Amino acid sequence: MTSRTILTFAVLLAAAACNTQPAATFTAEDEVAIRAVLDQWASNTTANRFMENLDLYTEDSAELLATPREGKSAIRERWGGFADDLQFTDSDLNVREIIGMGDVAYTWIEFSNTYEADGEPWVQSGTWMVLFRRSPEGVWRIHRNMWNATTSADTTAMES
Amino acid sequence: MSNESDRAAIYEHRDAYNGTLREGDLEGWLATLSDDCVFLPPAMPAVKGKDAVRQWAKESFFDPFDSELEYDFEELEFSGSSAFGWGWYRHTLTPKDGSEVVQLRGKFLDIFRREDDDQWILARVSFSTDHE
Repeated sequence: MTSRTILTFAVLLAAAACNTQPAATFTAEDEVAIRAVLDQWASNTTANRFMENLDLYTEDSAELLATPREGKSAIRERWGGFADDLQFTDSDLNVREIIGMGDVAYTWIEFSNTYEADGEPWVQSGTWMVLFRRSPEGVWRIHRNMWNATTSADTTAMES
Repeated sequence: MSNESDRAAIYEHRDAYNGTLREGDLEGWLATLSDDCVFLPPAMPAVKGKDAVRQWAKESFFDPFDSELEYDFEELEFSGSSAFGWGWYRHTLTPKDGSEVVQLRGKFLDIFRREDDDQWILARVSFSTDHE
């Protein structure tokens, strides 16, 4: 084994021992891509295609509610409990910031969703923190999220 | 820093955050936060910047209550000089006027930032309360 080979091997070993992920580049295009995901979320929701929003989530995505839903199938099950009963008429997402952390980015949003439930109109407003993860193919998806309502609409079914 | 030492530093941060809250040390607690920190609490608008957080925390926790906070992470992930973590908390609020103790529990989603001096500070916090 040459000294060069030994040195290369040592460098590789050192790299493998360090688990901290180096921050990948986060560009203006990444921010545009994340905004596009959120626009799609609002568009799907307003069009009452709420379940299609699942395509915007990572397979191991987690919704951090009272009982956290971890994994897309758990999220699908929760959404199935209310998506058919609510008729969304508007979804306004005011994105306050998007900060890249390599292949992860976070944003927080002031939201206002308008919908009808049992024939009654509701406006639900609040804050939404969303963590995105970039896939190896470069696609940003919702990875972790938590929201809080600031209005008094009856959202019990959506929160639990 | 290695992932292991970063993780240890975040847990030290947690101890400082809880300790200063328990001691009623508002300025010490604020020192664990970034100047541009944002809190997203339940049932109220975002609280943005350290001055606003100071006023909100003083009125909501520090002045009216003695606090005992426990929290732990279900997940903690690092990316460069940032980290995110989520987990659960239990917050016991004992009113200073002698009225009934309030127990809150819920989830949090935190964003941490490592400063130039390698100290980790809390930059963004969302937390919710469980409905039981």
